[in-house]
Amino acid sequence: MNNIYTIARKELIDIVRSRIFVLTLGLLVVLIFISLFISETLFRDQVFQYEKSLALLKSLGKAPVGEAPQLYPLNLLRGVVDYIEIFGAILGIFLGYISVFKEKHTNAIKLMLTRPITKNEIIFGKILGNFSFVFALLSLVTVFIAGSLMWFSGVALSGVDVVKLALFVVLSSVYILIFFTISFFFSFQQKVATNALIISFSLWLVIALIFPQIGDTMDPDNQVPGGFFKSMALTKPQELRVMDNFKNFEFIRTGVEQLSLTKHYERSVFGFFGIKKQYNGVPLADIFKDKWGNMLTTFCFLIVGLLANILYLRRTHHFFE
Amino acid sequence: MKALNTSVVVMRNEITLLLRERTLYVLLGIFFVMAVLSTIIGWSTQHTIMNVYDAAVAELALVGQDAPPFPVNSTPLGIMTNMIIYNVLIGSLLAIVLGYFVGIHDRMYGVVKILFSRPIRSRDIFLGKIFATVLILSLVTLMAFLVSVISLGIFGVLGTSAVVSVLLFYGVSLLYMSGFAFLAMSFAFVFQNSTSAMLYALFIWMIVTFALPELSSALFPTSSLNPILPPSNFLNSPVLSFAHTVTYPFSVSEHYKALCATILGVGAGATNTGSIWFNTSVVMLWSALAFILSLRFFTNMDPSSDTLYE
Amino acid sequence: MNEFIIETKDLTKKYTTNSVALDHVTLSIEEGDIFGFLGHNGAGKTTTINMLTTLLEPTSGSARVGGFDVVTNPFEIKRIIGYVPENVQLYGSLSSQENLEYFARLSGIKDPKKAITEITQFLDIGNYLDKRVQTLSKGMRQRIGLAQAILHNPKVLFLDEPTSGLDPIGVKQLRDTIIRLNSEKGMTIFMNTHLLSEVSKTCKTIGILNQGKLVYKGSLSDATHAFKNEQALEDMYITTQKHESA
Repeated sequence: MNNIYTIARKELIDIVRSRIFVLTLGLLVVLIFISLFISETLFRDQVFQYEKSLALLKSLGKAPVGEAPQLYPLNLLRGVVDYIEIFGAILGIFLGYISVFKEKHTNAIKLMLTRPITKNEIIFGKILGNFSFVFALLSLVTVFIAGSLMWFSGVALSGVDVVKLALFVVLSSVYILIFFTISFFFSFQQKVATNALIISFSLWLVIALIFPQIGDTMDPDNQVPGGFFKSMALTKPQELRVMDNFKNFEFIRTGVEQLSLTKHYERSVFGFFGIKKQYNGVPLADIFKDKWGNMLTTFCFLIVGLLANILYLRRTHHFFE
Repeated sequence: MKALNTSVVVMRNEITLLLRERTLYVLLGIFFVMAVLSTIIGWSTQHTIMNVYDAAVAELALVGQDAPPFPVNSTPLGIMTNMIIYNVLIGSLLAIVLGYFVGIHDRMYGVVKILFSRPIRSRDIFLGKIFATVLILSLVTLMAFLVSVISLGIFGVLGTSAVVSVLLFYGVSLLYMSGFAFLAMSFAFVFQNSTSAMLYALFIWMIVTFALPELSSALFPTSSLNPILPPSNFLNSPVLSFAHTVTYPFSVSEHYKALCATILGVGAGATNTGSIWFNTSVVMLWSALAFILSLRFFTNMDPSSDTLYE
Repeated sequence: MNEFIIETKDLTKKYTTNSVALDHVTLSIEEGDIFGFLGHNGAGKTTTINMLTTLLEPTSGSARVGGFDVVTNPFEIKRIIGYVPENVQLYGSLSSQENLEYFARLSGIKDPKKAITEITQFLDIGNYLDKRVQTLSKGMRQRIGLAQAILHNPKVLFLDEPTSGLDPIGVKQLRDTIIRLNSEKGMTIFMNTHLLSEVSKTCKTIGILNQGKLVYKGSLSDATHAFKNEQALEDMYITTQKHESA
């Protein structure tokens, strides 16, 4: 066990000394807070516009029309989730790459194996080091996000909100680490570092961007800015009845989305944060009931990724090359 | 040896080397699959939304409500809009990988010293590399163009003006992608570490594709990948409006998307505050600056040192 | 008396103001010579070759190859030299034939195929022409590397640590080839090495560099007179290194 900790500690040193990793991480953190700022600014503006029209209506002696914009602080995290989906995955790829190629190209892996350490200890040490890093990093960033939300809204986050944020940390860590396992696998499997990166990035492109993008652009509601059904003034039950006629189309569309790990992660977190409006004010247990499938799938992806690595590395001779 | 001859010899060599890079085919495959799928996706979505509209009209009629007119801005080349996004995502990544390989080959194989000890001008070597990159990218876009034209023939309406628009669209795309190829090539000329060269090019790609659109137009990353942009009132906010004024001129991907949308006649979207000429200038300037950067970095390359780490 | 085909005068290279890689080296090598340039790692041997092959500009001093100045006439020099860098690799994904054709064309050879056939016979590498370079052994790669350098029949051949990493058979083959190139084709050979055994078996004259300074230049037989107390070349070499470091 001591060896695992030693290797895990060494992983952390390698990570923080990688300039490109630190740069990308810095970019991600900056973008996360910019997106938070933009969301907050847009909300403030929405409230301002509402109050302005309210005052105008009052001065004309008319009754207010429409609902006042309601603040669910976690709704403002839409951009944050987007960035984890895209940049978080890239960070995962970098981590897998750094973890393997640092050892491969300095031949340190051969030195390590001449010590009384098992292959399993090396693998688990590396996985543990990266898991702890991602988890600690996301926890820290989330604490700052929570602080920023409280500062903006002026209200303390509820206990349920804190639980939701904790779930976000866990799910996001799992999501990032899936990409770590992908790049970890190819970094071992490929002899040329850039080839491992190109393959990992190609997979990322398909999983994190293309599949969700296909699903989104095929969504009938996305064909009009602001939503097709809203522009048709259809109620939700009417919308569901209409879409009942397009089961096959929807089956294909959601099928493509289901192929994407990113979409499973997104659906879970959008549910918890109420970014999908229907989940605002819904008890956590009910959201869980609705989203457990997506969460389970996300976890399954990680388990498959880890198992693939462990099985491959225990059998392969490429470990040294 | 005549200068053009040298460039052609270098170009042929680069192309042979490129064709033997197996990982390049992964991205090429994804690009062509998506080029084929883009029109099919566009067509099936457009077709479905019309049927959804009819069903919605019937649903409203049941409760005695009048239906609003068909709200979707349906245009003949509308089914191609996804390809704009695929060029932003896949095309530019493909260009980065292409440029990276062209830039790194000599250093990766340790032949810089031999190459520069031959009686040829370094300018001609550089031009050979540029020719190879542009030629391969042109072939890729030409094939994508043919795929699109055939798909339009099957799923859409094909006329002379449509073909011209699609040709123009791919011309602009070639320009946009070349910028990324030149950028990656520049980094490959000078970085001591081959992976860093690739990663820093990807870093710039991330900034251009996701970070700048957010800063300038308050677009969340996934929203900026949808050809139909969400409604936004961000310009009402003085802070965001200021951010837009400052950063929009640099947001190349937005200018590319807006320009292509205009060419395909689908509307450039609310976040585009520039004219078509402004969009065009930014895309051209992007490619030109990346070209100048690659020239400069190639000139600064030290031929006496071909140390390269992975 | 033969002409000097390589001449340097006070040739100096500084990478930074404090780091002098080559310090006022004055050297002349006759046409038809096999010159062995000796020195420890970092002595300045590769820097010298880099400047003579016009890959690097001197900080001060001058150098001429074949009568052409390295700064003002680099192109003329490139036409008459061949160069095999240390650990030559070539394009791994291309075959030996493709590599040779490429460099033949870049050397301005009108009929690359004919030139390759001649060199193939000379170096006996015919069986390896269709193989991709990345599949070849280090010794074979070195021979293909040598082939690209002599395709255009240069007057001067620069070899940087040519035997580095080769097995004894590879070393012997290379040594024989160098001697044949010199005797049959009349090429002047400039060879960097720190393998003294190679120098004694191959070279006609030697130069010894220590920390950027030329500490000995002359024929091997003269060297035995200059260092009377030392019996073997190794001892002479060690003495020169000691003198300088003292």
